[in-house]
Amino acid sequence: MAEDPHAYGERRILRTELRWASLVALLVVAIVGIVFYTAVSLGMNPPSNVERIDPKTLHLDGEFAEHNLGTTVTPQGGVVARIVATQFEFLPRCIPVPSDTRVTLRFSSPDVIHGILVTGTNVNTMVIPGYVAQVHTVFKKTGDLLMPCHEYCGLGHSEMWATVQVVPQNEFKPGSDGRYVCAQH
Amino acid sequence: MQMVSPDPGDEIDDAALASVMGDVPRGAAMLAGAAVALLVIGWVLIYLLIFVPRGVIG
Repeated sequence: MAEDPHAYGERRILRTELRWASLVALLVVAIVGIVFYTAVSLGMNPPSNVERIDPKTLHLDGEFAEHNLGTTVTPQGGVVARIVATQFEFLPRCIPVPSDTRVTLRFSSPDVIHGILVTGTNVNTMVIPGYVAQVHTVFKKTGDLLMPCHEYCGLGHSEMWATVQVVPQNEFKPGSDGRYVCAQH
Repeated sequence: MQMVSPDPGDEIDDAALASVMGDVPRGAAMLAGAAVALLVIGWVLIYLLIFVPRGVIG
């Protein structure tokens, strides 16, 4: 007895759908696998620094007081930049960093939630009042990079941006206090 | 099983309809496959050639 054409058609469609579902499941597994592999082998994780700070007294004393902001070379040779993100500017507005050197960027906010990214790099984090956001990166190319606020923070949000000035490693010579400021344009 | 035509008024018989229905998934699979392949290839290229070389920030 010949097979019912409808049943035959439906069987073919079902087979095609099952093949498609298998292929998509395989792709999802492959993508999750790539992400998992790079996370484990390279430590490719989102920034996960959890460090509390009082947003009410941020500007008065301690790490994010005005005289501590900007780029500093620690006695151990590490380069640390401390930046306050506030409505509607970054303090300081220009952050100098050496190329080909591991740099630590530390941010905090005294008012509302901000976010930062540095164009052409993976640097990207939220800046939440009450916490210190910290990222590390190596800037490979010299030049000025734009660092806008990427979390809507109020009416002046679109005016909130800073410049990361990447200078050649051999020209990055901090003063005796370990501090380095941007060259004037 | 009794054959029921979706529209008794048209001139397409059940066998022809079943044949067409059998061919439809092939075209849909090609279209969906091409779209998904482009998307996945784009993701993999951006991930491996741009995101990973930019390095770890955490």
